[in-house]
Amino acid sequence: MKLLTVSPAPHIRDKASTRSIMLDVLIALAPTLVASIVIFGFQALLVTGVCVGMAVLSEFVFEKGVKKSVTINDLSAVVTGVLLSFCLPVDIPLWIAGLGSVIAIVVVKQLFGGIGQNFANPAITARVVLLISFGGAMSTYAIDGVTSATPLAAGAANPGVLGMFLGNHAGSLGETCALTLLIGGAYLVVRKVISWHIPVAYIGTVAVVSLIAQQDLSIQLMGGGLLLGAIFMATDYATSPMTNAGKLVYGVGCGLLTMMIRLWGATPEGVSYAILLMNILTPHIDKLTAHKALGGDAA
Amino acid sequence: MGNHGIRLNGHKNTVDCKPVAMPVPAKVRIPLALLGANTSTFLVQKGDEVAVGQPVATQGQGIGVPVYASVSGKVAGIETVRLASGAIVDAVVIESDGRQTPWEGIKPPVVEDLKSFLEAVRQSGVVGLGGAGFPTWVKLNAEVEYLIINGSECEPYCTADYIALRDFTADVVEGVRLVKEYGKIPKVIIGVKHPPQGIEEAFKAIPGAEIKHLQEYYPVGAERMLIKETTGRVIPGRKLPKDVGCIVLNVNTAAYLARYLRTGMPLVSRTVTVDGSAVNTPSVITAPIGTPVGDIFEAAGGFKCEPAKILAGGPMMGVCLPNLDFPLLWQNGSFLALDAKDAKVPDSTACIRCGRCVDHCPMNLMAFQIGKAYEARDLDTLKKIRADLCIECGCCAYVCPAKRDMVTANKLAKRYMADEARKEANK
Repeated sequence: MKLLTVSPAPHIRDKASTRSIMLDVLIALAPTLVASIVIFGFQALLVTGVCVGMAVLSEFVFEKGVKKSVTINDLSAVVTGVLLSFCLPVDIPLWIAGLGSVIAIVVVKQLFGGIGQNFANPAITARVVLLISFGGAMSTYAIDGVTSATPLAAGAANPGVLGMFLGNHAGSLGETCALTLLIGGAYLVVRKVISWHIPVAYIGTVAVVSLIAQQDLSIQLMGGGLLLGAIFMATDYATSPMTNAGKLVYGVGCGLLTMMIRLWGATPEGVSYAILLMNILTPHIDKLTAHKALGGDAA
Repeated sequence: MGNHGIRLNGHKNTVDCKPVAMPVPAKVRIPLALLGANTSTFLVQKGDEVAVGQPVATQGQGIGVPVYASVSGKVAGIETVRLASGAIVDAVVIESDGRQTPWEGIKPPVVEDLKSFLEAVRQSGVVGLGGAGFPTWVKLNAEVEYLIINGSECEPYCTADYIALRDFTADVVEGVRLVKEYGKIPKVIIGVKHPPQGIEEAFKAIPGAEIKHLQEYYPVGAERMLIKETTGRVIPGRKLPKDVGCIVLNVNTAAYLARYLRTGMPLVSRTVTVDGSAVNTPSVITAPIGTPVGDIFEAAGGFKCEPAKILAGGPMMGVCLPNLDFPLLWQNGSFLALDAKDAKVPDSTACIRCGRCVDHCPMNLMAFQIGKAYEARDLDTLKKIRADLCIECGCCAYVCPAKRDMVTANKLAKRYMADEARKEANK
């Protein structure tokens, strides 16, 4: 008889793997990618392609370079690439898009230890770095060749609720089409990749504050990066809290910060900064909202 | 608040099987597998003729129970054997004569009160048959409010408890009645997921007995979960069921107790589920204690393909056996043989902080932190997150998409905590 396998329990495992989870995220992002091509043209696909390609390439090169095992097969770099491209304007110079991927993967993800170890969301951090470094290229939104501001900017045209819902307005590649973003979010919840807590707390908080501050609800909810951020960015495992209570706190925090920046800040949009700030608070939220062990009060 | 573990595919392939007595094995090795076995005394020596039910050794002072010959034949010697736990213990080796002659000293015990009942339970050789293997008489020596009968058997494949409840209902009921009466336990709850027909009727013989349909989750049969589900009580910290007024008894344990009190034949054989993707005919087999696992698989029609992994116990908490020579122990309720596909050990990757382990830990632990804290030998954090309360059920590792070996990490963490506590105490 051949030698028998001796391994620790459990001897059965759930089907879900890191790769299958990332694949689910990509499936959830696919409708929005299609929408971005419809809205912004073929160039949208090119930007996404460059971001994904550079993200995977830089992960591969970095891991080879430092002699770590290569993890591009887990598809997390692909997700980062897509997410980064989704928060870029369509006519971003491609080299800037590619540079964003390198920042996201090498600086934010790999230098902190790779998947699961980064304290800030790679795509968002890279976007913020690009925004600070290339302010002009990053905030020029063209649609059908006409440059305009996003509906969130003061004095911008209001595309109407339906236009906003379908995404036919200025904005980053993947943030404009509320319909496809919501479909993607529903898919992730159904597949149990994410729970409803962060998106609902986040979007709910923005809605409540908007009503109190007498803002146009449809613009606040659908005119900027809120849906993309709340569904796909704020739910990033590595940088958001573990427990449901923590997720609610985190979602509300993201919502409040977003609205503070939108209402009082110097920039029209605040989703990226809000999520980034809450990323930093995540370890503390985790600590304060940790589950208590069953019977854990006694020795 | 607590999580509700996981849902598993039951794989209860043997649920319609009748227990089949296997052919008498040529040789059995009966290990002194109990705590304190180092203080054992052998009552037989090489060359002695023994009969079924004859005591061959006493093991341990204090909590020990006697060990009995499970076959009739000749003592071939005392050997050391390695158990699945890794422990190396002495074993009485008996070459069977195939006749299964009962020992002449077999007679029903005289039981009048709790003291004589507990002594009888001790003499029965019965230990926790659900898997723990803890001497039953020690457990029964407590004043409690609830007697909880565990018939949940939540590990996939395992059916020995369900079948005991279905086919040996009278024995189970009698065992429960005896424990309840001698222990003066006011309430009895039988926890089952799928009660076999007629169970409600049978347990009406015991006043105050209640059948509780358990929720369909793993590990609902774990002692702490079962007590919570049936009584609503939570065992504080590392205390025992009796500290919340409960005794939990496995259905098979109850049945064997009843048989001993009726016949005087101690625990010398038990029913085991034999299943898994490499087994020809999934079966329920009654086998003498100490039978080599290989013989038990033989009795189930052998293997349909080369087995790649042999498990004692279920797939969630079972232990791998490195060969087929291992002897059947009292607490083994199932043996599984898995084919190469089922035996494959997945590659593990870094934790992605998905939180699934936290969502599914039935003990409500922040499971992902335990391994990290152990690697750093961070005793303060381990204490704070109560790694010591991990019941090693495997839910965290089961759901982990990064396929991390979380249970191993938790076991190491628990051992580390115990070692440090001992060091602290010896200071």
